[in-house]
Amino acid sequence: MTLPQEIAAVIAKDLRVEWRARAQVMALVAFAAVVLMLFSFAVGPDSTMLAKHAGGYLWLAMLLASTLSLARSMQTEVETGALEAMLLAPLRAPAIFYGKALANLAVLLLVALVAVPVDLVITGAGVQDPLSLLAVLALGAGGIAAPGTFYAALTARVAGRQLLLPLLLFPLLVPALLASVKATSLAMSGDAMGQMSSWLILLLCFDLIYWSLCGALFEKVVES
Amino acid sequence: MTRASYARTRTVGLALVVLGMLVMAVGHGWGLFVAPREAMMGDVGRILYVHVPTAWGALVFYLVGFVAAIGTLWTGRRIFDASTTAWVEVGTLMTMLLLIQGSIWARPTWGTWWTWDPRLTTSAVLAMSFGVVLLLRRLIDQAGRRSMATAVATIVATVNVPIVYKSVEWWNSLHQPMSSRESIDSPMWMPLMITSLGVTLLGIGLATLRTLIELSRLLAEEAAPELPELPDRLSLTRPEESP
Amino acid sequence: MTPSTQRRIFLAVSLLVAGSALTVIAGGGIGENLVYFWTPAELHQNSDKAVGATIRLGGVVQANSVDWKMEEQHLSFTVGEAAVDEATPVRVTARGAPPQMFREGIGVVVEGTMLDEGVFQADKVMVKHSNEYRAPTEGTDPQTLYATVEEL
Repeated sequence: MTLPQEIAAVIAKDLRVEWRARAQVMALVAFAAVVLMLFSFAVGPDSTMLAKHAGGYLWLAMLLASTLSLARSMQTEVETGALEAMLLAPLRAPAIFYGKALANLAVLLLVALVAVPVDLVITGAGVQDPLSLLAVLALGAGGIAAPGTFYAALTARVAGRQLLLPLLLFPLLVPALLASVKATSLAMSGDAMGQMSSWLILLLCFDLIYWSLCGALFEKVVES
Repeated sequence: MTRASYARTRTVGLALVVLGMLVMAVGHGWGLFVAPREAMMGDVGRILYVHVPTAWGALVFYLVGFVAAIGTLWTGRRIFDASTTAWVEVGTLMTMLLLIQGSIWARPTWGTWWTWDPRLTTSAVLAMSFGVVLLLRRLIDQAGRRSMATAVATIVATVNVPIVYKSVEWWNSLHQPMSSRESIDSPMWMPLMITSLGVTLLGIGLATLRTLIELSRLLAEEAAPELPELPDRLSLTRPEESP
Repeated sequence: MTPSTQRRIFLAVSLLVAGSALTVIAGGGIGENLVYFWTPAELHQNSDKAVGATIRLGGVVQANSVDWKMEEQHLSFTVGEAAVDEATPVRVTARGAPPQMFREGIGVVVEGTMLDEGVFQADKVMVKHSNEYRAPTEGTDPQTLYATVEEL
């Protein structure tokens, strides 16, 4: 098999797993929606405040939901010995990484698909620039998926991984999170200073770094 | 490592620590009593002589840790694993001190304990990411996996630093550009150099001692009688016990 | 191609991609567009967009413009393009005590929003202290600067 074929096979496998455990995906989506509700409770019924921070709430909900889905997706591989099986198949390590990361990205986008409307309804924010918002969602979720898959693999066998994964992940995601929140706010409330394209380019650069670096180091992680 | 070389290295480490502290004492004496007051900030500005060397130390020590981490992945040798931990630990100590000093300085000059200044925020992220590396290391029992995880996490955290710095700079900014030779008057430059040298020596000494400790730990762990490995996963179906 | 050559090529390409993306971030000049704050003149040009949006304004505190009401914890002052700015001064109001270094003629950055009546309501006032560390010139005692602030 060529590398793209291997990646496609891993994606197909992962999505099939998600589909068969679709109740879990539903629970994940519900979790994101509940987190959004809780943010509004924490802030109070101040509609201007809520609308102002709608982008921030959205990405925090995405981030919290992602740590759950990422941990689970790697958990199944390690617990059942599927990771060894894939390596023996033989699939190349980068193929496993990119396949799993892309599948995780798909799940995150599904979460976003529900979280965005919920966020808009709860906070009363509008969308000025839907096309840019879609781009931000894709790039931002990409920024979470690659390092997330990577660190989920690194911590899959460690005791206390449920705590360790978010701890490892959050500092790493700071740049992607900041850029995503800023760009989302611009897409929602209007781009007064004409900065959208810059934020998108930045997000793309972050993604390129995470996806290439994590892909290169993944082999070391699964080898040991 | 022989017992003699261990003792020798430890002496060198201890000597560096003492020397570093002496040099720092000289530098701080100069900074507190000889150097003039800073024009805008007055005596508050003297924290410069503590703060800038700490920042310098933190960055340099992490960088050494990063190089050692690459060494671990490349060669897999124990000494690199031990020194990665040592340098990251000393760097984390410096970053913690840096955060505290920064807050103390920010209060009188910026009027707040904390602002989302790129350097402050990056320092916080720095402390977080490397602190977690040390935590991760503690939680893994199996030696090979532990050295790999430490090295990989150190590398990723290091690469992340400039990205965080840049992104925070764009996200929110009220920052001073980096201090350089040109923006500091010469009577203030000398004590700064001396204290920086002191911090560097102290850091090298501490990291040397810490490397020795970690190395001994790793050796002791290897020498310990091998225990039967626990099953990595529980099989879903237990084999039926024959009656 | 043997697997190990493949691996090496993959590693090289990855590092190349990551390196070039880092270069773009560090030196690509994307940040130029993501300006830190508007000057008073820029604020006047974009006054239609400024109302309601979170913006940052940077400038110099004008002489004789600071009004600090201790009892009400209410601070107001005028920010201009330069030390003396007749054309585009902006009145700023804020709650809470001014930072210790705050005084007339110093650079400040305020974050907040423009109100309809043309007053900038700041959530946060920060003194933009420069990174120049200078020995004091003849005849100025640094400590007097603090005294000036306390009198405000």
